[in-house]
Amino acid sequence: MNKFTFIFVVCIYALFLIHQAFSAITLEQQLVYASFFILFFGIPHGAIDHILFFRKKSMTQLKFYGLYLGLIVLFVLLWLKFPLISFLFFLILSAFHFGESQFVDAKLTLRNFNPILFLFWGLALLATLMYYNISELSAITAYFQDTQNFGVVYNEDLFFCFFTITNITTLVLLLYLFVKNQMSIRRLSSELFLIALIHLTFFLFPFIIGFTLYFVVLHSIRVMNQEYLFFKSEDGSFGLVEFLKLLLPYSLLSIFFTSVLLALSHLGYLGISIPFLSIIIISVITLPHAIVMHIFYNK
Amino acid sequence: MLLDIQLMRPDDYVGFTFFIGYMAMFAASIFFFFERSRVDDKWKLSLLVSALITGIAAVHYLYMRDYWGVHQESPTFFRYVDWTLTVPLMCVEFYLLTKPAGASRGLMWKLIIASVWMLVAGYIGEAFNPALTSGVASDGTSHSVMWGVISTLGYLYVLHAAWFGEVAQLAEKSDSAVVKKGVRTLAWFVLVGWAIYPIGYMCMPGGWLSSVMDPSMIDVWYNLADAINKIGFGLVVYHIATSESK
Repeated sequence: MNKFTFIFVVCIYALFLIHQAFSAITLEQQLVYASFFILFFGIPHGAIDHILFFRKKSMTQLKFYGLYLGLIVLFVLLWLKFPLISFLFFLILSAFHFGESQFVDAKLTLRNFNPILFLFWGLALLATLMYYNISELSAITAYFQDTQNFGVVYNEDLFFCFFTITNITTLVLLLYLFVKNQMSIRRLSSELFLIALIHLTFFLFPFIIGFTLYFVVLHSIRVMNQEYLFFKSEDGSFGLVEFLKLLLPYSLLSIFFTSVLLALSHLGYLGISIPFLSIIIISVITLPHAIVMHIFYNK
Repeated sequence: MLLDIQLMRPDDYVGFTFFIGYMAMFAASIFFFFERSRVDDKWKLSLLVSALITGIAAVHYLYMRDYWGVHQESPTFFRYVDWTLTVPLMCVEFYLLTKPAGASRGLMWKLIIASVWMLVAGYIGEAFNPALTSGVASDGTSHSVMWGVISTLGYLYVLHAAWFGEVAQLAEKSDSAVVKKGVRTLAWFVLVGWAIYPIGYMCMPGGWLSSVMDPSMIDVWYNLADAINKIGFGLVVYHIATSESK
């Protein structure tokens, strides 16, 4: 167990007790709390992509920002034209990104094998989240007009297959790494424990709470720690305050624009529901972020 | 004498596991006690504590077995008396194992206080729940949540100490790879094995997990977890002691 898993365990116990105290937490309450944590922890973990990129690759600022923002615009257009394809692409991209950040410190040397592990680990995570909460997901998507199209993918048999295949494949891949001496028994047991913990979390908690818990504690805070340690390795005197100063400008900018867009949606100016808009915003900022982090992890 | 023996139904799994738990703990105590003679002097106290843990549990399981046989209800009182004595002793094992690496008595007392804190708060939350007298599950929610939070703080302290705090740091400093690995294994017991107790707490009638797990079956899980945790803890200590005595 690493310190992030420990924080995750503490959060699970806290949420157990909160759930016991409030027998039912409404969807609106879940969305408000989740938005708060995603905005203040999720967004900052991608707020220094430009700094990380220039530490690993040389490119003109104009070209970088052009490519970064160009990808965002392209993905927005793809969402408006082909929402279902965009959604599936977003799932696959997120899966790979989650898997990559999970194993970056594992020192795996089978380079061709790693992307398969990253992808399946992330797909298993998303499949588990969706499989345990399929009825809740169907209800949420059916509730809003512009998300009703996603309802076609909510087939229980299909989800069961997806859930089983991805989870079994991930377990086989982890065991393969252990057999090939790529992973110690200590790391393997930690990974298996984490998978069990994630299953328990997604099974017991509602979709939004379960995902937020994973995304904030096991992904965003973990990635921020990796970023912090990177700067610390460059300059021993680098501290938390300096790190927060680096995160602040683009975090505030992103939080501001996201809030404006959500407010416009709430007031009916955009003609897009808040959940649908949230998915679009999260996915379009995930695309360039995932590419930058891939470069950061591999260079 | 035979007339006093309670009838046990073949499907009484709670009663069955009370019998199994009692005999397993009893056998483990005898084993640890007699094996003391085979290890170096510095490990004798650790094995004695292991024998005490399972021995105290065996006595309580004997009571709980009979209590269950007569009343067919969860022996909460005896269970907490047992835990209040045995869990701090498990914490003493952490101290004894890391003592050669420099563990202080202060560490031992901190772990003992945290574990007693956890259990006393858990007992108040479970045994003095207003829902037990009113019969309405929702009446006990705020009581069980408040004492659950207080109890969990004690658990998290021990968990943190075993994984990242003083215990983990001392184990890392230890010259012995067996001790390092052993302390890590005991930390897994605290993380996974001990998790059954807060889960059981939340399975009380009216508890959040009561819909996930049948409250009447919680004694089966407690009994199995107790046997695995206490005997398992002792076996890890035994493994360290015998490996280091070769």
